[in-house]
Amino acid sequence: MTPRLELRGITKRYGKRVVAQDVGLSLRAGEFFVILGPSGEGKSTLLRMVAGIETPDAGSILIDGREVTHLPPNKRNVSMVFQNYALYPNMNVYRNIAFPLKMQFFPPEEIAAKIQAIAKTLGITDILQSSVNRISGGQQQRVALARAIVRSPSVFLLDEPLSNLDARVRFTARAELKKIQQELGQTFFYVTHDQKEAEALSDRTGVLHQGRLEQVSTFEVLYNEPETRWVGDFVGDVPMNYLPDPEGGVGEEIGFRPEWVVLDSAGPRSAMVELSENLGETHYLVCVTPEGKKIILRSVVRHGPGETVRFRIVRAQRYGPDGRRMPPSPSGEGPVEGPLALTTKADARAQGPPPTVP
Amino acid sequence: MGSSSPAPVPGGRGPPNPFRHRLHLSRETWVPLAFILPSLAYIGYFAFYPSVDVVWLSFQTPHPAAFGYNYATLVQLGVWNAIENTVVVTVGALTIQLVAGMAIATILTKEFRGKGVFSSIAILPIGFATVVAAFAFSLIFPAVGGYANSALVGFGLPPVDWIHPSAQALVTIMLADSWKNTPLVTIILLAGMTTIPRSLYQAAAVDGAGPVRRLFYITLPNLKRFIAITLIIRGISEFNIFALPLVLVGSYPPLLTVLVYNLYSPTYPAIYQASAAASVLLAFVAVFIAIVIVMGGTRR
Amino acid sequence: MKPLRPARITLYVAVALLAVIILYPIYILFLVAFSPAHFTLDALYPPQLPHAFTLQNLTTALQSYNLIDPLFQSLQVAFLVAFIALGLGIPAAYGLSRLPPGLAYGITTVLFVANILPALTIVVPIAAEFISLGLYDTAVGLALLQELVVLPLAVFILLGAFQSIPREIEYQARVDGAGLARTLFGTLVPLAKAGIIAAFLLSWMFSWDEFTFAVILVPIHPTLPVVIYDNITRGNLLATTAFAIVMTIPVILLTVVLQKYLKGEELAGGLKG
Repeated sequence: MTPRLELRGITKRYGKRVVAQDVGLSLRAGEFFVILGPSGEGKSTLLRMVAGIETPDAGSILIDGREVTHLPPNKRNVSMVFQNYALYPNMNVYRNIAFPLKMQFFPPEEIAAKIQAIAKTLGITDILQSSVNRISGGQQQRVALARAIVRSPSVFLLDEPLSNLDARVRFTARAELKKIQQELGQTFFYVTHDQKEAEALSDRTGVLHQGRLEQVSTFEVLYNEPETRWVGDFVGDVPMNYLPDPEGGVGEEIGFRPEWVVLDSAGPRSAMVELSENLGETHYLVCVTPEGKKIILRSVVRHGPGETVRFRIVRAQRYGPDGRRMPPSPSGEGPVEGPLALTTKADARAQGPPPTVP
Repeated sequence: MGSSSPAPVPGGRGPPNPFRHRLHLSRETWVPLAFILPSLAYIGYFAFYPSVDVVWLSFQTPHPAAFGYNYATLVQLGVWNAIENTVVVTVGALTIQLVAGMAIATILTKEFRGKGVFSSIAILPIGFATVVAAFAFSLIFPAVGGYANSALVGFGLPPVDWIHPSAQALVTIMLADSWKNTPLVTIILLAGMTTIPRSLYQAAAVDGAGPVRRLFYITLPNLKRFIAITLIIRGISEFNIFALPLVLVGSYPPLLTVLVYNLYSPTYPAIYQASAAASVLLAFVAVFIAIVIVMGGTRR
Repeated sequence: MKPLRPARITLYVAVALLAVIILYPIYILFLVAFSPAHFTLDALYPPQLPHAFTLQNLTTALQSYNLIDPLFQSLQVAFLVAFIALGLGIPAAYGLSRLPPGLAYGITTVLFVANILPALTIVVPIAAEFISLGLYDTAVGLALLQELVVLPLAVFILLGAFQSIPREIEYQARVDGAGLARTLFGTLVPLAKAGIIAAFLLSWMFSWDEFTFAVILVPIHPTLPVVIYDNITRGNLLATTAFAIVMTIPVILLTVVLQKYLKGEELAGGLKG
């Protein structure tokens, strides 16, 4: 089946700064794909190249199998929601939503019908005649969304559409966005720096770092099997922990999440607590190991600074000196130090599939 | 427009077009350039071409005489005097306009009853054409009689010939020009003053600076960019001042522009000498710009 | 009522003094226009205050001089200049706003050099050129030269207007299916309205006032400033007052009606960036 959107070897530089380096991607029809990465490292540029606002230095972009790399935006059949919504300030809500339809020469009755339907779905019927400068941020976001989904393009491009909302509205808007995407069954290409959004929304997530796609997979896999140490550090509430791999060669380390560790007074490892941070049910313990490495562990009980805790690692990934993930140790089991004993509810995440070689 | 760009390599994996790369003319650059091109072509034909032409003409002469004959004639026609007068008027008028503009702008930053009316009055002269302003001033400052002299005589003072002795004529020109152009200076300086945070003044007042020191330590340094803009815009206009002296005092004492016009006059079509005088004017403006650029360059 | 502080008194005195100085020439102009000549121009030391009111000066001037043709010529040239300023200026300003800053700065500088070149320097050789092109003594020819001064200013104001529009609005229009022209004229131009009106007004008013190009280029079909100059040199001072008043009224009306567009922030244009 032809992918809905395909990027091949996309490269883009601004002077010396590389914002995209040989990026290759392929989106299925109906997929919610999220590009996740830190601000200013090329996410928006990638989206803009798909939109046709910018042109890649090399590589090609295909939409429904059609080469569009050098086509202007209006010939690509995509729609887009910008971070600042880019509502036309000289038009009211109705005329904003009508604009893309007018550009395609829809008859007025059909435009009116489509807008009424969309407005009902998004709950903006009573503000259709309002000026876009007089409505709340949440309403502006819905109007921008309505304008994007009122026609049926091949791909929807969304550039951090929720980041201008305040935290409370953002939460409901996120759920709503996912629901709409599922109802429409359309392909969403979504850019964000917020991993919570990636986790909640995406079918698959691509992590972009300094113009390179570090890993493309479900969020679950990103979290449990980060392909690079950078991804392990970026994804998750706290960075991954690393300790030298007893079975590995020089520079090889094992990486593990706090919840892949069981505090066990009979455990083979020890660390001294430096700092303890209470987060609801759990405590995050910033510890120093005898090797002098800083790691973060979790505990259901309080441990004060200066205390020594013993633990065992029940699950881990191995990373080579280049920072890339290596296959599990020759025994095929991975560096596991005893059976997993669930200590908190939150540890449920560690029950994910065991590490496998892709 | 898109058709003229090189056809994209299918798949895009091939090397980028080296020609396009060397010129750095991406699509993002040449499309905007195409929008600017008509203006540039227009400016080129109507401004740059004649400017070069006038310098070329200034070295042509019907006499098979020596190189620079036209310029030699200019000296006999009093070009030095004209240059001197132009400089005097420029410096004098700029000074008056800066001081008056500063005073009015300062007043307009304050709150007082009747401020709305006063701000309308302050920009009113913009609505009067230069020739109209010159005409009104010629009613006030003629050679004999007139409204200024009527006031002087009313106070028991002797009347003054406002336009014949060179000095009076130049002062009259400066006054009329300042009346017409101070509002523009006021607008620019006022825009500049609104960018200065009030807290700076409050801090300075707390630190014990009176109004005068606040002017020199806060207002003027923060207005530097705006004063520079004013000087450039008004300075160039002052060199080109033409309608106003022509209406107000006629051809004498001559300014550079008036000299060009006198030479050009259709009844005495001395096109080559006119070109020479015009070239002097051009050189003058060029020197002024150079000075401003050099000064701006060292200040930054 | 509390007594005024000395600083207040100084302020009011300064305001009053400046207001009188600014209004005085305007007052004299109207005094001469609406008083019988023997109280004004015919008197050696005319009285400062009005003694009698008459419309005679104006009616005589309007009857005995051809005012309609110069008025029409002035209007024609001013509108031509203003429309050419927008026609060339809007695309140029849009283009500049989309170029890399360094290149845009260079081009703006080149445009402003044209603004700086002395009118008399340009007009001497171009007058001869215009005769052969058939543009001599035509409204179009005069407008094309006045445009030299106006266009850089108009581009500057419009550039500021376009720069203040978020780039995303333009991208959005493109993604929504609008072509280049439709994006510029359907989306960006309406948003730059205030700047466009300011540029139009400024261009119009400059042309209305312009004398140097006019006196040399349109001697047979002169504009109002040239007619005023001609009448002064011929000594028709009463007629001149009538022309002066006719010339001033449209500008005052325009300024009052469109005052809100003639503010510093519109005119400051690209300076903000």
